[in-house]
Amino acid sequence: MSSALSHHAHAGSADSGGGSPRIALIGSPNGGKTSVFNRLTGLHAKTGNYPGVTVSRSAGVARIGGAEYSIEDLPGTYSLSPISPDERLVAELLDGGVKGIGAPDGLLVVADSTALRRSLLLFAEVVQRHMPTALVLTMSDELTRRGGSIDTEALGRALGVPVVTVVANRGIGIGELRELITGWRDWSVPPVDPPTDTAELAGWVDSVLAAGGYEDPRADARTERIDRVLLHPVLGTVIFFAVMFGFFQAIFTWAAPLQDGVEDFFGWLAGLAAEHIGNPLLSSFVSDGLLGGVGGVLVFVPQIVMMYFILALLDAVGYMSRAAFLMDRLMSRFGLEGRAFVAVLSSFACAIPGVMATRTLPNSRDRIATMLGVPLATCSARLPVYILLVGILIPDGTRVGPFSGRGVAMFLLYLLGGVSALTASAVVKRITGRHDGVLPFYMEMPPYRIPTPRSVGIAMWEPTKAFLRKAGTIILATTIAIWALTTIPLRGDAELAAAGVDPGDEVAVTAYTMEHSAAAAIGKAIEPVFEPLGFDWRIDVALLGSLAAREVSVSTLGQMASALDPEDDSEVAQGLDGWTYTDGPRAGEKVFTPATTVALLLFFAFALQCMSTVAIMRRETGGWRWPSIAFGYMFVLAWVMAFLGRAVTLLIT
Amino acid sequence: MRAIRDHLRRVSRPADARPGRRPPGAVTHPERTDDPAVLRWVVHGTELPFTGPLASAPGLDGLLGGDLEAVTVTPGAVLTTAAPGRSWRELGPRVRAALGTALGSVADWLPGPGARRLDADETLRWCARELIDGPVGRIATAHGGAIELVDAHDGVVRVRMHGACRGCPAAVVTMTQRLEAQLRRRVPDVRAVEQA
Amino acid sequence: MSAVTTTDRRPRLDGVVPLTALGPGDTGTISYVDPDLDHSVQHRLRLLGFCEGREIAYVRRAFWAGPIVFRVCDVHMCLRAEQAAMIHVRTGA
Repeated sequence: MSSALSHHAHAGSADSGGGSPRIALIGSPNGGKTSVFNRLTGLHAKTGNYPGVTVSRSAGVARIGGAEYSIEDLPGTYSLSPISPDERLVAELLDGGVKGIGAPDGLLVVADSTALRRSLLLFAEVVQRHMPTALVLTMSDELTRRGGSIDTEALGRALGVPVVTVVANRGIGIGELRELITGWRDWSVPPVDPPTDTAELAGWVDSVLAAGGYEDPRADARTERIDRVLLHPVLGTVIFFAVMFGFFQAIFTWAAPLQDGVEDFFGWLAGLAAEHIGNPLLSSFVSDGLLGGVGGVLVFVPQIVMMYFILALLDAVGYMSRAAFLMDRLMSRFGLEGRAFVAVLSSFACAIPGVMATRTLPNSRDRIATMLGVPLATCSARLPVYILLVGILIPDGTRVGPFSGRGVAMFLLYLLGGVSALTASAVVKRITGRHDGVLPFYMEMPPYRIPTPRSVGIAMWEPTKAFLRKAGTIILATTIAIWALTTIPLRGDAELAAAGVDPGDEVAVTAYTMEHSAAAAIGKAIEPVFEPLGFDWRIDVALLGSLAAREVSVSTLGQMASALDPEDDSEVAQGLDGWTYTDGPRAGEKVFTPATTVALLLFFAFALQCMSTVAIMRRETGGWRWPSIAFGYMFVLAWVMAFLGRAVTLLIT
Repeated sequence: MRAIRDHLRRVSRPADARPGRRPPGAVTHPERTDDPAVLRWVVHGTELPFTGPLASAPGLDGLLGGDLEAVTVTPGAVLTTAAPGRSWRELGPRVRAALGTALGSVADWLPGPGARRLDADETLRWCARELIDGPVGRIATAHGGAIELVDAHDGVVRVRMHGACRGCPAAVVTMTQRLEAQLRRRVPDVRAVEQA
Repeated sequence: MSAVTTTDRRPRLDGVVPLTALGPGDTGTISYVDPDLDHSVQHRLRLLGFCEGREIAYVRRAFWAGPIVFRVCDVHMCLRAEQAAMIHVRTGA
């Protein structure tokens, strides 16, 4: 087939002789584009952002016949005419490149063969750019199963571009596709641009498909049957909540043994390090700082992996759009849309996946609003703090009706997290709402499909890797920093003896070191800020520790309370019970009164302490503006809520 | 005979209101031919009145003799030849618009010299020949063989295989099936493609 | 001439109505997209498959007045009521 391109409108890098040819994949979401991309690039793909915007970018390299081809997986789209700033970026990229990224040399349109009558509309827009174009039809097995058919060759003749058919998830036709890519210079466009008027365009599509022997597939009976149950007004909602319940069960209950295993393992390693490393500073660094930090990250991993697995599975099967469909009304009450619920849901495990999940939202204002709200959800890092403080606040055995008092308190805290996350997002959405492009809400409900383990694996592994890389480095760095602030300088035996501390008593030594460390100095310095909330400088030191990870504050409190085992809540609680203010207007009074405990609980509920969340926000929004706003507003909110909580508690008790 | 034909028509064109299909009007799209100056506008939804040169048609008159050197009508398609120096990229949309107008009143088309209406057998033979000289034949050649049209009558097309295709049962089945499938899109009344 | 399976129920509507007027089991042919809408939004709706002349069928609606699922161009697309009201269809036999 001779190329009818009289000129290349925009010469890509390959034409000018520099670098490998750049092929861009264009197609609708749910169209099998990701599977094609994965097949072409294997695991040699990188995910990142386009410069300056919160649009994620997937690029990789395909090695075919000794040559390298740079494959760019453009964000799934239904049209090249942008209706949002993100889409405008993709259009710019096709036009002539964006800073740092050259324009593609060839455009490979990936179309779902079961939705060809719609997909050719996008194809028509793509060929108007007069760049070398080819078409890949996916899901051809499903097309046949549903009674449809296509004559690939005839379609190619009708369209005027090369066409190949694949079943991406089973690897069928990939060889042909790879060969097609090697011949990218021979790609072409139709001899005459398809009509721009949509009525005429529909006629063009119909004509092309008739010539291509296209038989429309029947509606998928299996999907209809399943949807009648899963989207049933009553049954569907029940099943949805059951799925949500299962989700939480999996990430909390089932992941727990693995998490304990990780903790035990690192505890054992730390013990080994303490035994075998002579130098006390180095020993402490390795066991508390390094291993503590690494362990602190890895202890999350079972939960994160479990969560991403379930999300990837639900998405691959096609249930996610159903869930978003069911949730849309509720979400819209908070100014968001159905798809935002995934972000809110994930945040109950950890805010970091929640923030990363906002990428699926097409509207950038929705993304910002959701990002600024989800850190308020009750994440699992808050749990150790809650358990300790609720244990202090509510005596064991208290009952509220048939439920345990502590259980009710925990439930209320979860509820508080969820409601405040949604409310905060709603407020942010309202505030940033001045000039909204009239972005319509639409969503495709794809047929249910059986995913391959490979595709679920890739969908699960990529974000886990990202989490480990981003959160991991931050948590490790901050843990080491906090370790340094609380441990250095190490006190010599003579000094300890002079202060009345037995150098052999490890617990007492730790407590003394901490109380006279740099962190303590900082704690004392910031005490005035937290004084109205009833926090004393030791609590402030714990707050400082929480910047690394919230549960660090629990161990910090435990160490300062001279607890033999900082993990034992009741022991720590006992120690804390004995604390009295060392100076100031309340000197001598008990610190952990119900008022203070409530205040501390509420402070943790609302403050953004997690530095990794801040770091992820910076990466997702491409700047420090929004993370700073998030940190700032949540600090103020936490302070105010803690103050109010304290005041109310004082009133009632 | 008519009963069989009607039955075949019903079977080959499942008529249901599948969402997405618009009510049939005339739709068209252009395909390249071996001659870069000639574009083949495939037409669906309207039967073309004759086969041969077009002398006049509403809409196309403005282009005939000027931008368009010639227009030829064939079963299921209209061939347009651009005058020398014209580019299809520029001319195409105008031809499309003109053709759209023309297809709206097919009864007003005037045949040129030598043009006439083909009967059922002649149409069948023409389309079979077109495919054998074109895409279907090319596949045979690519496999080292050839396919020859022997006869086309009363909905049945008879062909003969040559070269590598001859004697290979798989090739025979594939080629005849392929030819039949593509033929049916242009001539819904085709009943079978057989080996002679 | 089309062998449409006729339902026992007579169509209640005839003429051109917004998509939101469709109910379970109803089909129609898209007549036009509200021309007062932002042009980019009109274009987007068309590229989703809501083109003039295409047949469209109501599939289901979410609980509590949520989005509506339609079948058009062989795909299931859901729209909120606000968007669906902008698309007008011709119904009736």
